[in-house]
Amino acid sequence: MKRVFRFLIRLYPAWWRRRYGRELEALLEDSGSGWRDVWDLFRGAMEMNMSRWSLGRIVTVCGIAGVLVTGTIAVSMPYRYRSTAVLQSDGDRSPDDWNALTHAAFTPQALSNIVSREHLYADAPIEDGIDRMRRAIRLAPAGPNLVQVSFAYEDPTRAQRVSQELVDRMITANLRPRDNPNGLVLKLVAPADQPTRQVERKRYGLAGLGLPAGLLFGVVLALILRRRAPAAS
Amino acid sequence: MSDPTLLVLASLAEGDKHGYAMMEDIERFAGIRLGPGTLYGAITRLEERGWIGPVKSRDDRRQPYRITAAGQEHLAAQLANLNRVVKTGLSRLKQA
Repeated sequence: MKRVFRFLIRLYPAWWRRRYGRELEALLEDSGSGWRDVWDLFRGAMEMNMSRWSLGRIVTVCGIAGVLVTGTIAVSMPYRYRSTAVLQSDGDRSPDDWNALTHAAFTPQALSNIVSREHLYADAPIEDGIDRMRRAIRLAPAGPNLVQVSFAYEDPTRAQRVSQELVDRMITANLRPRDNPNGLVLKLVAPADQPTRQVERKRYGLAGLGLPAGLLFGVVLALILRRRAPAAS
Repeated sequence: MSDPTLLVLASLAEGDKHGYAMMEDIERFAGIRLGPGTLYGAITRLEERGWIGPVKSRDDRRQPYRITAAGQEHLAAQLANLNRVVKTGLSRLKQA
């Protein structure tokens, strides 16, 4: 623990360490500080460093930090492939009708079976896997009485298999009179395709968000630090 | 009242104290444990503002601090404000 504290004290600026460094060391010894104080010391060190920085420097550093943080998250996000199938209805269906049909086809039990069988989201508990699967499914109109059903996953082959199973389940649900009271026919126009391109625009969006978010944070931080700074006396 | 600078001033209003003594005193009267980084951040700001100052001591690792006249004035003003807020809040609670 002493080593950690010594390292954290070294993060304080030199002018501060010369004046208060030995006192802080004594306080840490006397108070029996532990891990709970690590964040407090780190935050204190950052605050003391920034207390003598100009607004421009704080904003710039925060902007760069924002890009680095979101860039790292974006790079560590797995790439996904989206496989799409197309269904056609022989009559008009409102968005509510499509929603009712997907609700009947994609029950928690059905999705749970797919998650288990295809070993999707192996790092997450089954409930989270189902939630993530729901978020990866997309229904979009593709023309008069046409709807695109797609599923995105890290592995293109599994994305294709799951996408195909989803449309199969929608067709099966459509055969049940209680889920298709108007008796409309649903047929597969285009089976689930084998995706070849990674489709992860979110990743670039997230990385791009880092700069404005970091700059904004920097401005807020600079204002907070300015409020705390000594009065110009 | 969770502003660390006010807590430090309130602690020193009783008498000179070094960092650890302030930490213990604040925990006793306010029920708040200031972390070492927070405490020394507050001490730094208060000393820069001239509201507290170091007292001569043989042990330079356990430097005691004393509230200055300007610090007492600031503390009194802040406590008066707080007192007004507390009184108003209590009276409104009674009316409710």
